[in-house]
Amino acid sequence: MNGAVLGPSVEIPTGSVPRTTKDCVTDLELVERAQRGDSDAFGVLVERHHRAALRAAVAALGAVDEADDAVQEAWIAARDRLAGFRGDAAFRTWLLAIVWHKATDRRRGVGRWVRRLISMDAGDDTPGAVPSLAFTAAGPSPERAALAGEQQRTIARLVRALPAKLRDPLVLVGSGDYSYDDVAAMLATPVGTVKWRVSEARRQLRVKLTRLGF
Amino acid sequence: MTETDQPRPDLDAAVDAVLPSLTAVSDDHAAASLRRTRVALADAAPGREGAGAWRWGLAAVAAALIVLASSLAFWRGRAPEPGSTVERRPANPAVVATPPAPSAPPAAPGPVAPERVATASRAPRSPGRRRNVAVQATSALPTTPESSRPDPLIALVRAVQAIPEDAWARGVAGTDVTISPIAIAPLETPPIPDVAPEWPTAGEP
Repeated sequence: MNGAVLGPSVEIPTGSVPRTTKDCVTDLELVERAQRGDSDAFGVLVERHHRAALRAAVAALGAVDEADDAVQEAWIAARDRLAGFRGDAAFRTWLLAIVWHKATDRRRGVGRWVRRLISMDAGDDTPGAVPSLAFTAAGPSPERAALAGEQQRTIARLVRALPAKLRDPLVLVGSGDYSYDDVAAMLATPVGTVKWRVSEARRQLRVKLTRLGF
Repeated sequence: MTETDQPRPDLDAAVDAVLPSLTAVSDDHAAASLRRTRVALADAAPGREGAGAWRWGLAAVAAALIVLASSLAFWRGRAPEPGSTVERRPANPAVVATPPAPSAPPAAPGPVAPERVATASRAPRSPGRRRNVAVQATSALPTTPESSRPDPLIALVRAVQAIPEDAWARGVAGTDVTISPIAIAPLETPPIPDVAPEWPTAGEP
């Protein structure tokens, strides 16, 4: 315990480790404090990067509930391995690689295949369904909005139908949260390979959409 | 370049507009997930993990000791003391309790019965064999009660043992054996008349 409590709100610090605050502290500093046993510092890291981790897991799994479980496992694993973090890469990149590994482990699980089969029987209510972006379309007319909505649903279906090698980098890069370097570190693939896969995925989508009359 | 490979900036823009929505997470989902993650991290604290491992180790050691102690108790409860199995056997008390007469002649058939007494003082079996043989000797009850069965051989032995020593010596020496003469009166029969006997012919019953 770092302080002796004298009253309801009076606390005299007695330790050398200052209390962690959210502001003006870099990730590396927080990691160093967490490595020295400051659990609050790790809590700040969780708060900073949880959303990015969750979106990466959603990109891999497509379902928020499953992604939540994968992210929890990833945070626990990250805390356990934090002593081995040397700062060669950014903490965020290191964390996202762990998240992606946990999420793809779940994606390969047998139970997930069973759930997908059941959901396919029940209908196409796959999580991550595209919300209508018709309000952002150029024209306000109902016809154009309906056309745009149909096109978006078709694009989402075609993206989900892509092979995982092309779909994963396309979704991660297209989410806008991750750079090519981040994606390359998450997928353990060279940056050039990631760029080629994204380009190839776009080309296949263009071809299929053109054939469908869009 | 085929016709379908032509640049389509409109389709690229549509794809770019859809892709972020595939990983969209609402603020409510993100907040709830953050809360659950904090709880999970608190539950899986490193100190607790170590304590949990210690608890599992202690429980495993305690379970192993209990199993070992119970198996030892079971084994000792089933293994008899050397010689005790035959003593508990419901043998014929007349045969076991009566020692052989010291004056019995060696040629008499009586010593056959005391041979069964010798099984009571059998040498202890080897530990490897003790378990199987002991269970058969103690738990196997006789099909019929031995005490209710008359044994003519034992009765003969007891009768021989009941003979006094001096009478036995005299009997062996044969000095007092006197046989009084038996008077037999002559048998008188009436005279047979002179009649030829009728012998049965062949084939007649």
